[in-house]
Amino acid sequence: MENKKKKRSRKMLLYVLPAVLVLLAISIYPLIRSLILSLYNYNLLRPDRIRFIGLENFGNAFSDTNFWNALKRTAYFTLFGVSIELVLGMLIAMLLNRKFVGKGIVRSLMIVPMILSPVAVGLVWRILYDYDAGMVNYFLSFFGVSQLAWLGNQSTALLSLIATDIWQWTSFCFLVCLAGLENIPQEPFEAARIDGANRFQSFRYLTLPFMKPVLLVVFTLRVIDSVKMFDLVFIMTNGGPGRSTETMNFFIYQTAFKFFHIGRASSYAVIITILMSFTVSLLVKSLKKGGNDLV
Amino acid sequence: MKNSLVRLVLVVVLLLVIMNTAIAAKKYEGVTIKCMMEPHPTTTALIRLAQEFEEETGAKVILEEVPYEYLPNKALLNFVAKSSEYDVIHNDWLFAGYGYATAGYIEPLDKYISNPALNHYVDLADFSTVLVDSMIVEDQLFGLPLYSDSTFIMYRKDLFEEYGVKVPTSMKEITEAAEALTLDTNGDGKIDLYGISLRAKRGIHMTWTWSGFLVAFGGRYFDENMQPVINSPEAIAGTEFYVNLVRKFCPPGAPNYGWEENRISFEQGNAAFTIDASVNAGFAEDPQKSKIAGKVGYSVIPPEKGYGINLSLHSLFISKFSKNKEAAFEFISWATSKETQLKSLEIEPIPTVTSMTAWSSDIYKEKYHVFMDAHFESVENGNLQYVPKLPETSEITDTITAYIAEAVAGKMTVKEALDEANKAVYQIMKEAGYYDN
Repeated sequence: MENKKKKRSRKMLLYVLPAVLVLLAISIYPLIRSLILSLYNYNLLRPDRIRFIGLENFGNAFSDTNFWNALKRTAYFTLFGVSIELVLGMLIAMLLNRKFVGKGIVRSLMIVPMILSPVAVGLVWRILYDYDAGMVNYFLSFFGVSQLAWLGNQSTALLSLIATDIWQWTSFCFLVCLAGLENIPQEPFEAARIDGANRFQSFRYLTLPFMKPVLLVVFTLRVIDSVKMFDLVFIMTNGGPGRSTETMNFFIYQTAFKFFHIGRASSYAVIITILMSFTVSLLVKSLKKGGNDLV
Repeated sequence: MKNSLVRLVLVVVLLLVIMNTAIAAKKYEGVTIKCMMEPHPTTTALIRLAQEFEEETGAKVILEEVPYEYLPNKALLNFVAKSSEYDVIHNDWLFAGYGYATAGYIEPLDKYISNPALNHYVDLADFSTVLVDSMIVEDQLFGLPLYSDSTFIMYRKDLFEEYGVKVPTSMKEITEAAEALTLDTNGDGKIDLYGISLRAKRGIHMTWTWSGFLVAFGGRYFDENMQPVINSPEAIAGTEFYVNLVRKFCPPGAPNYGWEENRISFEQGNAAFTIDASVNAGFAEDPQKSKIAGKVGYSVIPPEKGYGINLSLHSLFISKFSKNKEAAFEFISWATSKETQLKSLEIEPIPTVTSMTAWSSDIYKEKYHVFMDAHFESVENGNLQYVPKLPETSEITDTITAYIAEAVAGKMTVKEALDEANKAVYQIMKEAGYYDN
């Protein structure tokens, strides 16, 4: 009996081994390696000065205003962008959550931005935002808005990036919300209508609670994606003008691959990973609660 | 009849065999030289000409263009991995090459140059001494110059004439001309012609333009003890001059202008004049691509306390980890030779060749007579040290220009920006160990 169990577990181990190996090679090893690197003064241009410095990189990060500003920008980008995407996605989903001719086509068209490569999106939007040749300024001119260098101005550059992100990812929120809405049972709504609830009340007390877990899932996924966002900054502004669009990921990239402070960049990456794990685990926790509330 | 046919076949076969052995006897048969190249007309020309080198030596040459801004990081990652994939690296000497040399990633060339079996082309006297001397580190030469840009003024002759503005001969007149030519030409209440177009994108691009003013007004990066003095009164004056131009007389997109954006902006007629690399003149004069071909005049940037004309130096280096260093050397010496530069000059817009022979050639005169005098005068007064020669150059200049960008955006005064920049540069230098003893 004992023997059989052992054999069985050994067999099972064999089956999961490939997955474990792959995980070790592409996820665990780099993680450990970056943890180690974060404790070193490691500059590729100064191979003679590579040495262990303990937690110095972390101390420097917290006293570095550029680090804090990059973190703030990422938080701003994420919260601002994701909440608008969520609201818009939900509203559009409610608008389209009914039977009408061509619903399938509308839905397919809605998801086009989402399936485009972010690099292509960045390039296209860079042209759209162009001061002279851009469509944005062209259309705004009909409303009497004077031309603006959207990406060339420190106060509008980050907002312009957020707008592009919203354009691209609202459709994702829409799609998931629509799927959620379609799965809500209709009976409570009928009962509410009989009891004399108005539209807003049935939205507030029925739709929203039903949708809460779905919204939380979308929110979590979008937050993760949004914090990781790099391509739009890289393609559209390269962190500029000045540092106005230098988000955390771009800041790390710059530290590692432009100034070649690999150790310092690793310490930033470790900090952001810890922060993100914390945030996401909080979200997942409330997601679990939200799910329990409903069932 | 049959006999003669057999004989013919035999002769053909024999000939083929002989030819084959002759090909096999080429020096670098089977060797592949892989080069990481900056996208530049010079590279385009080399791609078109490489076949000649391949036929002569039997080596196969792969010239891979890597976007300029990402080239140093690709090169460095290759070096750190001790990869032998790339044999030749083409890069800016001050921003990147010097760092490679001090870190021991690129090969000193002296022993190849002094070896007559390998050196068929290199004539160091054919390059300007400034360029060659700069690349000597601890008595060893680390690269061969491929192209060298200088800055000068490119102005619209037609507009200057139409609005009665004279070509600036002092720094003050630059501002005056920029102000006089920032105009609403069609009377709709919106400015549609800007006086000047300048690069103001943080990093290498702003550095290229701003540092000219820094130097012209007598500013510098470090004093004799390597302490940063980027907030000296001279540096502030030069930077204020630059920031004022960008804020008031440049097209609104200028804070995101790099080399290409600024070139295109000027070619599209957005601005009356610009200060940028001489290679742009080759583009501006190309009637197929430029709206303003034939309308452009060229002049030397006037001095303030001294000349503030930048000289850039982009060279070919051999990777220390290359397995074909000899073949790589023959390739870079061929690529920078008089003969090749002359041919390149014919087929691509390259006023920035480094060979003096090419400069004085008829083809140069024929193609670039409109601006060659201004170009040569600029090169003569040019300053290669428009950025410090340190491995940290890229980080230092990026940090300074990020602060200047704040001044351009009006969020800081120039003095505040440079005070902060000075502190930040000190910190970089300290961390790099310059003040250890």
